[in-house]
Amino acid sequence: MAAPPFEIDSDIAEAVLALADDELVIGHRHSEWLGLSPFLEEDLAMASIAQDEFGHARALYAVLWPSWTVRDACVVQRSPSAFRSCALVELDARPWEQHLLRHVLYDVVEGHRWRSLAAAGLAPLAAIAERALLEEGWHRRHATDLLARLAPAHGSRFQVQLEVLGPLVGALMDGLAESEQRAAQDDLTGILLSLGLELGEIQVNGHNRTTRSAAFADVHRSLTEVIAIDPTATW
Amino acid sequence: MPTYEVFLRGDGRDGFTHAGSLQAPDDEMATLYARETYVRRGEGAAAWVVCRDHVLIVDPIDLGVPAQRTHGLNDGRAVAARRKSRRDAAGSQQ
Repeated sequence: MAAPPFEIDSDIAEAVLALADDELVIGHRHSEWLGLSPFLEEDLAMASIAQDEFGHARALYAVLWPSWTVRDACVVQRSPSAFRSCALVELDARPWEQHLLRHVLYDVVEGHRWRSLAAAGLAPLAAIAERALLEEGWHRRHATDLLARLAPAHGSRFQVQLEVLGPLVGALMDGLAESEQRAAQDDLTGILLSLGLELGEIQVNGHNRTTRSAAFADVHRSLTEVIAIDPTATW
Repeated sequence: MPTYEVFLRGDGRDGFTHAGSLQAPDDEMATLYARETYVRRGEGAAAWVVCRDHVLIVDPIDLGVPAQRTHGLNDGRAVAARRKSRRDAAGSQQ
C-alpha cells in the first residue's frame, strides 16, 4: 500500500478533511438505508443524497491530494486515527427517525460549513462550495420538509432521539468562524423550535476529531471490505 | 399518501412525456421526490408533477371509434395517392 501523502498542517486543511470525512461517512450511513426506509421514495432519495455526499467528499479529497495515484490508500485505507469524521455521522442511527433527525442536524449545519470554506479565500474551495451548496439546498429541504411533516404527530419520538443526538451536534460547528457558528446555532434551534423540538445547549468547542467513536469500526470495515479480502485488487 | 404522476420534457422542442409515478405526503414533497426519483441524471429540463386525483380519466366508451367513422382514421396516404394518380394522369396527357 502506498503511503498516503498525509501532511495536514493548516486549519483550512483540517477543516477540509473534517468535512470530506464527514461527507464520506454520512454518505455511507445514508446508503445503508437503501431498501429499509419507510417508503420507496425515501429509499431513492437517501441513495441519491448519499451519492451527492460522496461526490462532495471526492472533490474535497482532490484538493488535499491533487496528485493521488492510489486513491484508496489516500482515502479509505487510512488508519481510523487518520480520519477526521465526527461521532454524529459515524453513529449507526436507528431507528429510522433517529437517522432522519441526524440528516436534519447534519445538513442544516453543513450549509454553514460550506459557506465558511468558501470564505477561506481559496479559489478551488470556493468553486467546489458553490456547486455543493446547490445540492445541499435540496438535501436540507428534503430533511427539514420531511421532519416538518412528521414532527407534529410524532414530536415525542423525535424529542427522544434529539436527546441522543444533541450532544453530538457541536462537533459540526467546531472550527467555524464565530459569526458562522452563531448563525448555524440560530438556524438549527430555530427550525427545531418551530417544530416543537428542543435542542438544548450546544457545546461547540473542544471536540476531538482525532479519535473515532465505537460506531466507526463497522463503517471502516465496510469501506475496506474488498481490499481486505484481496489486497491486490484494483478498480 | 397520494400518488403523483411525473412528466418530463427534455431540453428541445419535444413535449412532456410520462416518466412514472410516485407517492408523497403532499405537493411540496412530491416535487422533491420527483427530482430524486426521476431527474437524478438530468433526464429532463422541465417537470410537471400532477396529483393523480386531478387527472381526468376519460370513459373508455368515449374513446371507441365507431365502425362508421373509419374516415376519421385517415392518415393522409389515401389523399396523397389520389393526388399522385391525378398528377400522373395529367402528365401522360401532355
